[in-house]
Amino acid sequence: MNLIPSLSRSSLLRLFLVNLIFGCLIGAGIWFASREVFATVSFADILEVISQDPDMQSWVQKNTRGFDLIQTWFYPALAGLMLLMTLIQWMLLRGGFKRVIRKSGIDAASRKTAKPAAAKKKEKQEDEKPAREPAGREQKEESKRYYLHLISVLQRQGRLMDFFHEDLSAFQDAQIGAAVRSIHENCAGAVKKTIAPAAVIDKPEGREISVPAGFDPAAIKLTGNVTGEPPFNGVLRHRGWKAGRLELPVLSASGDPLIIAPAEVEIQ
Amino acid sequence: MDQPAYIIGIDLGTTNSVVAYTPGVPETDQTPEVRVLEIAQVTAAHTIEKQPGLPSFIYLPGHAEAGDGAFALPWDPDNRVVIGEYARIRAAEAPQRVIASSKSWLCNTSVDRNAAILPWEAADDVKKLSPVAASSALLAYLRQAWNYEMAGDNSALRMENQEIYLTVPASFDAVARELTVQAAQQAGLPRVTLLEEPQAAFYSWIDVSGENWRKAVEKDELVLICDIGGGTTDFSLIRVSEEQGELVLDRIAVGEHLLVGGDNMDLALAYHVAAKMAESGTRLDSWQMRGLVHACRSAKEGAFSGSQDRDTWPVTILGRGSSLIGNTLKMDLPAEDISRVIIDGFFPKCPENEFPRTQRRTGLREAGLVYAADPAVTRHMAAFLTGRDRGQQETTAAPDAVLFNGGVMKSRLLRERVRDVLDSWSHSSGRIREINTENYDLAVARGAAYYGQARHGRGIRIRAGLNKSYYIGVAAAMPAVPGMPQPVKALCVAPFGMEEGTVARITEKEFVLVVGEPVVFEFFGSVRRQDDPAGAVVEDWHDQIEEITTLETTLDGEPGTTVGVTLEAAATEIGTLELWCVSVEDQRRWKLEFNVRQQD
Repeated sequence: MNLIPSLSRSSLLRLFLVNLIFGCLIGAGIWFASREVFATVSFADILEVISQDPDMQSWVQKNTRGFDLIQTWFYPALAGLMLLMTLIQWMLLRGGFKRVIRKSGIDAASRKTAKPAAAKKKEKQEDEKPAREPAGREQKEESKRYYLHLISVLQRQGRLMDFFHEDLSAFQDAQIGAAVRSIHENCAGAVKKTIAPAAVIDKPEGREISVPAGFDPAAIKLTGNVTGEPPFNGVLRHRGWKAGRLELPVLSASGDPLIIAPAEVEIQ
Repeated sequence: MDQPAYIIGIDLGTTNSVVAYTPGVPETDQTPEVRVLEIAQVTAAHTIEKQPGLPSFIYLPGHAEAGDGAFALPWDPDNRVVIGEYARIRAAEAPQRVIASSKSWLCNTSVDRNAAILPWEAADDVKKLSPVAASSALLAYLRQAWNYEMAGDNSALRMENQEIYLTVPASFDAVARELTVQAAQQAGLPRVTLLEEPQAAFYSWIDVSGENWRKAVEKDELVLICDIGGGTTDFSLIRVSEEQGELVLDRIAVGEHLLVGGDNMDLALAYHVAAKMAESGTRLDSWQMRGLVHACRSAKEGAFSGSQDRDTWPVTILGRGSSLIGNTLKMDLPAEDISRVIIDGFFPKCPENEFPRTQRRTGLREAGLVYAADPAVTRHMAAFLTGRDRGQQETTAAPDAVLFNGGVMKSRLLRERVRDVLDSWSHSSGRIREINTENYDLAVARGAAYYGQARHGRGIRIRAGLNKSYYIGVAAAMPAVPGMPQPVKALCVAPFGMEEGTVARITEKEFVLVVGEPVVFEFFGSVRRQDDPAGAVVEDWHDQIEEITTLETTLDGEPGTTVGVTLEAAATEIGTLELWCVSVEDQRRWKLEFNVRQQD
């Protein structure tokens, strides 16, 4: 989980640098502009205009302290403002990619996809929203791929889609049996390799077991005469299935996500 | 440099490669656990999955296919060379673009191993690789996969900064070992140490059984290691003895390089079935043939696993395209046929003095690689155990126990068959013991990682040394007869079993060499003659010693002058052999390089 701290550190540095450059640009702009103004109209001219109008004179005298204050504190205030902006931007950005990473499930497989998405956002930090949208779309395409991946593996290794597509009524049982043997063997092998299925409750079916309080309703389904409070005593009717391992493949974003198996063309 | 974080064992197999690792510094006094690396690899276009091994296949896709990042790797988005599972699948579908068995090409003396020749018989637009470059590409892939999986941003964890043990067949000669080290260097792994595969399998067993291995073997016993993989077969013999109350292991013999393995068995069975189908009028195309090979492998594994006793084993070839069931071909293969093809073809009963047959079998020979002329593993085993020249007297080694390794040996009935044959040779009564191992596929890499620990004194080591006696050719001192080639005698420069890190100096013979001209020595090796000391001269050697290659160097100095030199052989710590010419006047030295070009 050291992805988030490392990402936020590097993005803070970049944000700081960008805002520093901005601050310098603004400061320099104002400095040059004011110098330009005083180059064409000298200070003496202004004083002369002011001295001719008594109203103006009194106003200037009242506000001299204010002008001095602005002159001395303008640049520090600008720097402070920029620092504050850096901090706010950073916090917004950090919250943003924390959410994205959590959604994509932080593991080795997502490392590849999460990083470029975050990097892209860092570059376009000025306008955050448009940057997040393509990442979201990419993720959506990727979930489509993940959804179809297992069936694509089963087709690749066991021809399962071809089998589902067959009209079984056209064939004799013996013919079907011959084909199924091979499909069953290969699909079973593929399933075993990819998700290593295991029983949720590894006890013989028909055995009396006790379900303790605080059981996970997703893992154990109670049927029949369910009354009272746990622990429940009952007979194990189905052992259930769970994945013994779940290693998500890395699927690249390019290519049509709806492809399950490619068409084959033999070049003669 | 500090002790690296990991000790890594790499099994660069003919058909499958495995990486195992163990912490470099164990946390407790216990022998640390050895784990197998999950390797991310392309399994289909746009898909990368992790598997515990990497099929040793390299697929070189055309431009049209590799575009659009179809084969992008996590560490290389522009990748255009596919290594691993998808390459293995493509080997059957587009063989002109796939490099397979690159390791076997490394020890093939009939080609230049630094020339870009693979894939053998490739199309013109394929960018070919040399055998060394192909092995290097596989190792580089393993390095990148490791760095991606294990290292991240921490350079101290990168593979090149770990302690690496790379396994080679026991039968690899000095030249093939040297080339393996070169391939590793090209792959960015400058420091590797070589280890023989059968030894690694033995180490793996020691690792798994913990201290119990001491109970499984006894003093003065011989253990045969029989390693039958997908493409190669390798034998080694280990002697157990006792020194100061402790058991000591010596690797006392290795077999010759045999290109026969499980893949040949599947092919032989598939051809048998195809011939039967042809009798009934069904001709198979190449696509169906591939399905058949796969089905035959399943039938073979089923029939020899010993878990079911059936009269016939179904072999089905599914219909191509969408008409799956309608075009399915099915045959019930009698168990008798499987037994006849595999047992009689590859594991026949034979007397212990029967030697492998030498005629070429067309069904098993493919252009390029020199496959074993006789597929009978048992006859090769007989040749390995007998015919060893020990003190001018040919004796037969009778092993007391046998340790099996390799995918083929997963089949219980085949293991029993080999034991039956061994029993029929054994002079002592009683059945040969089988040393029980688990995990016939991953044992070698695990054993290599264990060996790394053992080298640091945390485990037992097998005393091994050189796997062959090595010789150079010297002209006999007799008057030249016109029209007759001058007879050549073999001078032993490095004896069998010469220990790593030692140097043998041959002072018996001094050579006077011309400076500034290329100097060429003939280089021979023998697994049969084990008792020749360094400096021994063998006059009649043609049936026991084989030519390997030539050794070459050019002496620097003033051209035209001569210099007297003696030879020096060094068995290096990393498992290679170096030969040097040392000047007798001053101590100038020139290294003799192995010639890896095509041999006539």
